[in-house]
Amino acid sequence: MEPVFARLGVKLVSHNFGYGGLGTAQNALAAGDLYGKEIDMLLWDTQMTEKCVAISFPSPL
Amino acid sequence: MPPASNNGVDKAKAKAKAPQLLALVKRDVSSLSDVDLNRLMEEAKQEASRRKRVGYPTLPQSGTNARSRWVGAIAFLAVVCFLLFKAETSEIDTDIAEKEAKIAPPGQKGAWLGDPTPNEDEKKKVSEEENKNVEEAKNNAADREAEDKQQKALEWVEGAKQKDNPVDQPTAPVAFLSSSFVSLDDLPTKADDAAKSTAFKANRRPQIKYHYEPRSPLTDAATKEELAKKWGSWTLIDPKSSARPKDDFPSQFPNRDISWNMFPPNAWQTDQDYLSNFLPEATSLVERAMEAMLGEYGWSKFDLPDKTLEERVNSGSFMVAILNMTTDNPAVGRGSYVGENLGGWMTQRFFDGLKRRLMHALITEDTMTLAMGGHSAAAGNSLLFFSVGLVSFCRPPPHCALFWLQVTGASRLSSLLAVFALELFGCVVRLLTEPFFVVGIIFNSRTPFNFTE
Repeated sequence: MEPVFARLGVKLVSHNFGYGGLGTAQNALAAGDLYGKEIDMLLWDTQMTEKCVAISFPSPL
Repeated sequence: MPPASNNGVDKAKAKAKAPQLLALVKRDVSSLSDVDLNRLMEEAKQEASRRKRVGYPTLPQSGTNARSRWVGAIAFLAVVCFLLFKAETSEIDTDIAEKEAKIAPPGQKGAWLGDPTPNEDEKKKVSEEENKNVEEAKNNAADREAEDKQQKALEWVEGAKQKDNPVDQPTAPVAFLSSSFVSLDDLPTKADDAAKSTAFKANRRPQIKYHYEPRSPLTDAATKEELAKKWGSWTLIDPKSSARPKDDFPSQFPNRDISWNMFPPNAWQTDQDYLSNFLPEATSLVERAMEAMLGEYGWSKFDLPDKTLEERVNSGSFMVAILNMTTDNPAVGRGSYVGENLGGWMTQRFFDGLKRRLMHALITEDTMTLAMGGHSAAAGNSLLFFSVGLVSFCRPPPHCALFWLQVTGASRLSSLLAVFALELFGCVVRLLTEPFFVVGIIFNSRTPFNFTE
């Protein structure tokens, strides 16, 4: 998607912060420092670690 | 008010307590009998005599060890400095020798250096020749680099052709391992012959430097033209591009929140003519991007010509549900929003915020930052990062590139140990996209993973 955004004058920065074997709670405790406090969109895939209840794709900011 | 005291000690109280302490000491001593007192004094004399005779066995030895350590450290530093000086001197000598070979005429090697007061003409001549040689070297290096790139591209194309049509070119050698590119298909396997393995080792990928290396061959012009004809392409050209503001004027405002009346008069954001062309072109671009994603799953307009874009998007697992967190029944598992028809869920607040952020980034030419969290399958770990939830390409800054490590072959263990050592000093390492290659090391505690952009 970077070239698409670049054509529209926006610099797209994407970070892959996926962790193996950890759930949401472990990372949520320090999410601001881990994922950055200036991110515009946080996608969260919980299918493997929280499959009993919640499977979310984009998390509300 | 208590009197002033130093370091929190109340001097007046201490002085008042002093007589009591003295009395306590006197009472203890006075409570001893003369015999005991004489015995204690005799023991103290014997101990003093013994220490005077044999000395203090541990303290001098400890001092000797400390001195030895200092001497050893100084000697080690001296050796290191000597070696560095030697290496530097050797480089300077080599450099001088090269200059001599280039500039000095045959048979007078070094003569130009021996004259401490060369005249101005000689200086100018030497300087011109030096500049000429440097320019020639630069041009030659640039030519060689361009030739190498072209040769690599040709090798890749040839290699792809041979893989696609092995019957047509059965005898042609496989374009195996150019100097900069390594495809996973080209990695030697156990079944390969010794010659191929030897060739792989001989043409091992060079040490990674700061440059972006595409993992697939570049699309040639003819293919690009064909794709543009089939899918469409960006056709807008700004006729006033040279007159647009060159400086980053939104950066002068906090969070780039520039007021509408603060845009320069020649900015594209306020140019109605430009916007009337830009907006339809931008909409087409976004739709082409959506078509490309649908096409990856076999849902393109060519695969399903009888359905519109909206129908194809709505019928596949590409839609994201919008939940109302206050009214929706929480007993319904969120997992029901993932499946054949939905790809996940979000809230209305998130969607509104996303639209606002996109518009803000677009108008102010800002950065849009996406982060993906979740489990290892989302990260792509289990598939060697070939299937990731968020595709990102590593492009580390130069200071990180200095610490890139190649972890292959026999050096794998030692390199990994070095990586772990770096990790102890605050560096964080991430394996990404290619097996056995450590491609991301960063020092920023805010984003302690692979730096991607």
